[in-house]
Amino acid sequence: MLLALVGAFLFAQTEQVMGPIQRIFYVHLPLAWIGFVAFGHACWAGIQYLRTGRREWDAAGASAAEIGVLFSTLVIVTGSLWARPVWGTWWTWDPQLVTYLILWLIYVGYLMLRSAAGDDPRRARFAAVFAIVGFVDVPLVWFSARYLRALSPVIFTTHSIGLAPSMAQALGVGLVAWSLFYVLLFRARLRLGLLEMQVAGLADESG
Amino acid sequence: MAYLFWAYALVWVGIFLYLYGLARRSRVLERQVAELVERSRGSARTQAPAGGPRTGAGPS
Repeated sequence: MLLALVGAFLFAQTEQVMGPIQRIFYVHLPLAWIGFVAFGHACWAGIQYLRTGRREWDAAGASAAEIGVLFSTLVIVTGSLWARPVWGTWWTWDPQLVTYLILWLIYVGYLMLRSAAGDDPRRARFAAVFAIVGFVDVPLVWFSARYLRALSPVIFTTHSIGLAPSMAQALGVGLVAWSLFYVLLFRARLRLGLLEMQVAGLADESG
Repeated sequence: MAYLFWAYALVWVGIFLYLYGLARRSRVLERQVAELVERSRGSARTQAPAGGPRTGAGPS
């Protein structure tokens, strides 16, 4: 993570048009990417839960969705702080931003549903379906940036990466660092979720 | 520059708040485990005389 910060602030060259504010990009894009991975993870866990009925998959889905919501919240915050000096506004109803906001709302709804609906298999089933349906919005966010005249720049195309080499390397280090951080965070959160599940089961048994 | 500072600062504040939340949940869990252990010891103590073998308690 320290390497990612060094890459973002010292190694990557300053962008000529936006200036230093562009360095937000080295945390914004990895967080957005890992947010998508986390929601994909929650969707996969939901599918596995519906297939097998094992509670471990339910805990995995909850863990991934929770981290996904955290990361996507930070994406919206950093995006706004980038947009203000560059576009002159905190928020604009751009197709990519709207689809991303919908994605965020879907998974915030997912977490609220989990916390409100008690602790039974019906809740877990409903949450799994919610996570799977919610993930449908991820490709919409992705395609809206490319095909609906979104304001956000498209960096990765099939032909090239639209970045200078030092910027691409700083971004690469950031992506690796945040991916590893996600793995660690997910493991810690899943462990906690599984323990909570076991303790709740034991508490029920002992009355 | 202020926007850049706030962007990175808020990311790390968010991450630390989440980690703090996880640590708090972990502490609550530890307390619940300790209560469960205490409860199970208590019930084992009350069940032992009724369920255990009675030696020399009555006339043979």
